[in-house]
Amino acid sequence: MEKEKSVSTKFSVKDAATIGIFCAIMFVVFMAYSMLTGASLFYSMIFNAAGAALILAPFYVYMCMKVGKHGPALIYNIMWAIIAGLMMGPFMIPWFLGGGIIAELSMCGKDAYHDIRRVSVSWVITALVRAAHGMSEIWFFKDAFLATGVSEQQIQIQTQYYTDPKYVLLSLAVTAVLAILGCMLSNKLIVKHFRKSGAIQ
Amino acid sequence: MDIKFDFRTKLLVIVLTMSLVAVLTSDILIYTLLGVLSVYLVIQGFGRQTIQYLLICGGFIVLRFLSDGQGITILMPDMFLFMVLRILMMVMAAQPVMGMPPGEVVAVFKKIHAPDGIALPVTFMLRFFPTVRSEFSDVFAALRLRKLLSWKHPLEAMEYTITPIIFRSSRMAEELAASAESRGISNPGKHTCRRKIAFQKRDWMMCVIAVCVTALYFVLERTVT
Repeated sequence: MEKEKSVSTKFSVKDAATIGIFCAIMFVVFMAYSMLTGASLFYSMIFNAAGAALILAPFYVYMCMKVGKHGPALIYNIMWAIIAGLMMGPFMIPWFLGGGIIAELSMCGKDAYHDIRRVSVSWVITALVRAAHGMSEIWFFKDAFLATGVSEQQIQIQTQYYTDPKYVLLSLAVTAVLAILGCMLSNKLIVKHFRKSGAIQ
Repeated sequence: MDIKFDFRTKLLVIVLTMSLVAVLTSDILIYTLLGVLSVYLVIQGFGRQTIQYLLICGGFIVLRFLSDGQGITILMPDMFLFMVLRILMMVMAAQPVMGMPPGEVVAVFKKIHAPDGIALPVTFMLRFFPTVRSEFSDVFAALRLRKLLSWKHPLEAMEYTITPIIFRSSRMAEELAASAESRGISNPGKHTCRRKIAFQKRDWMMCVIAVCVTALYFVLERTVT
């Protein structure tokens, strides 16, 4: 009995496969979405993370509920830290790693990964970390960001938007709202399709 | 030409490219780095992919020349062109890793004692990356056939797209996990691999060349700017 309990709480190969595959899907969807919307500088700076929070929420919620154990929030953010480090520069790794630790800490307690409200909280944190990463480049890593060879024009625009409380609040508020909305829609999908079919307990 | 390098060599090239992409500011150095990465891919047998990458990069380089640092209207700002080029360079550096057989990745992770919590998801992620596109195109084809894809009903279209993708991916996760389990992936004992996982002479040579090229680019960056 005790052995059965310990097996059920242990991170299995199936859980790792679920996390890996859903991370790959979320990354590809995010890249496709960013390529399509990246042509508009204003949108990509203020609303990119908000749209991503809505589109990626069903995958994240399903991944968390399917695994149902501690770890997916942290591992997902670690994957993002690696990818962001490769794409934007190593200074981004601690930012996403810190966000992942906070998101995982928000899931403390038993059965948190089966509770849509708790999963929503971790998704909002993850989405806000992604929304604020551009701001962090200006606020905390400006020298490292400048060293990446980014143009003066880009720095000026980014500084203009990301040091204006109006735009910062707009970006973060819309991201939080769309992340919550995404989780609500995801929960409907879970109840309508996945719980009914037995894919999620 | 089809030289096979060890995973650690490929990882070193990715890290070095990452450091260069994060530091290089001169356009000419970025364009020559594209050439170096192309050679790196071609010697590993990725000729077709190299041509595709170069064509896309060429398009963006032309746009950068035309924009002269001002972007192409508000629809294509300079930052977009700048980011896409750098991201493509990182994708080029990562191409040999994305095409690696999962068994080899697992064996390397075991050899370097990487924690399973990270190593296993990364292995499955790398295995699944090449098929994500076909998963989506299959679902889109089925939806188009039934005329269920419509911009007039975005939420319904989203549901019709996401639900089958999640079902298919979840099933694939179970199948891959079962396949990996049957081959003893979670066996606590010593793991062996059919492929020889060894840091060979060619890996040492590649690492030395990669480090020297990186150092040269750092020196040139200081000289040029």
